[in-house]
Amino acid sequence: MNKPLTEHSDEELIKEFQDSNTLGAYEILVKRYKDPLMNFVYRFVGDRDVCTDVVQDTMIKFYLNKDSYRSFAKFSTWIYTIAGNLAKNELKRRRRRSILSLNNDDDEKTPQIEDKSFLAPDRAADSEIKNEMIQKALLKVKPVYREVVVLRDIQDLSYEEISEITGLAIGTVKSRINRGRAQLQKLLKSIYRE
Amino acid sequence: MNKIYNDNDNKHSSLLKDLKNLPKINAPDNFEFNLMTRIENKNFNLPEEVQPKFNLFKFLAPSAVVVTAVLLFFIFYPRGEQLNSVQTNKQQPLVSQSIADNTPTANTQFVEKVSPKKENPAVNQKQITTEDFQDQALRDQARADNRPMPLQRNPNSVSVDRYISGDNFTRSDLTRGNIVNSGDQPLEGNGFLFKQRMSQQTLKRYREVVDSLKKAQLRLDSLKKASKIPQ
Repeated sequence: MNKPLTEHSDEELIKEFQDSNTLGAYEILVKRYKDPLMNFVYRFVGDRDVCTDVVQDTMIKFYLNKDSYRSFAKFSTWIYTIAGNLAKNELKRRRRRSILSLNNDDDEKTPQIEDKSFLAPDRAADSEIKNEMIQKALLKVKPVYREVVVLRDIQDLSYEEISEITGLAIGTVKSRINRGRAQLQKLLKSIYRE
Repeated sequence: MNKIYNDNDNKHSSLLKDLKNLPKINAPDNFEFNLMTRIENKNFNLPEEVQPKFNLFKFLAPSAVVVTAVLLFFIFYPRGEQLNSVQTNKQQPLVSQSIADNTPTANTQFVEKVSPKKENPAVNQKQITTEDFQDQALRDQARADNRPMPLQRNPNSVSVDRYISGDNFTRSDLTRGNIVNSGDQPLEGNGFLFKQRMSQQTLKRYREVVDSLKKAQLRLDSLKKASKIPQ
């Protein structure tokens, strides 16, 4: 008895999409991954509109290059790799644009973290502001560290999965995560007193 | 190693907790609709890959290598050429002297070479081949008589080893010259000797010497015949 597509695993769905070009399988995969990818790209790039475009492009790339997926890899790591590469490209493009732009707007620059001295203690404790500060601090961390920290501590992926996505050795992934966390902690030392 | 990373997890525990509790960002409601519309309309204008930054050093490195190679070539190559020509000049008198001493036919050939005739190339080519055969005949004769090899007529022939071994008759004139010269230009040197225009006076003197020698030879022959006549 054939089970419905919604009960298929990611790998079964991509196989179905590759073999029969079933658009239903593709749509289910898009439904499953659009939100995790949005979250990952937003934490990495920091702009909601850009993030939506990047995830759309990721899904288009997945649609066009479905045959480049090989069954020995996990589908999740494959789609995260595509999204990560597009996000990195977007960051490079923005950096270049900001360098080339003669009329360099301050708004286009990476947001600065608010100085805690200007905030009242009760406001600083407020979770919304805290989240905002964490996001801003995250964007100040070097992209190579930021990517792995987001994947590990926000997306909750395993070291092995991160290693596959980034193409780095597990040891490198671990050390980058530690450095990223240390940078983040340093940036947020006003909140996290040791 | 894992312990270090676990310690690190504990060290940043509150940060990690907050990172995990960050609000999840969801895709907008029209995300799927927009995506499927793009696919149906085949509107796949994906952003172009960002090209790596222009690096002046990387850009200039290959051309710098080429320029260095060319400079090195011009610095070292002519020195080698000069060395070769110097060595050839040094060897020349000794070789020519030894041949002049040992070869009775060398003098007559030298006289022949002094006044080269200017002919059209076709005739010249033909003559060279007949000369080659003559040379070969002379060389065969010399070999049979166990005499030293005669000097070859070809002015471009300079391969000493081949003269010694006696198997250079198959080579063309130009390639013979190029063995030592290592270039496309035919060698100016006349084999072991450099070409020299001889004055008419000297030529006349040489002819007189040769004639007198011939006369002497004839006289000697007649005397021998006379002595052989029984009395």
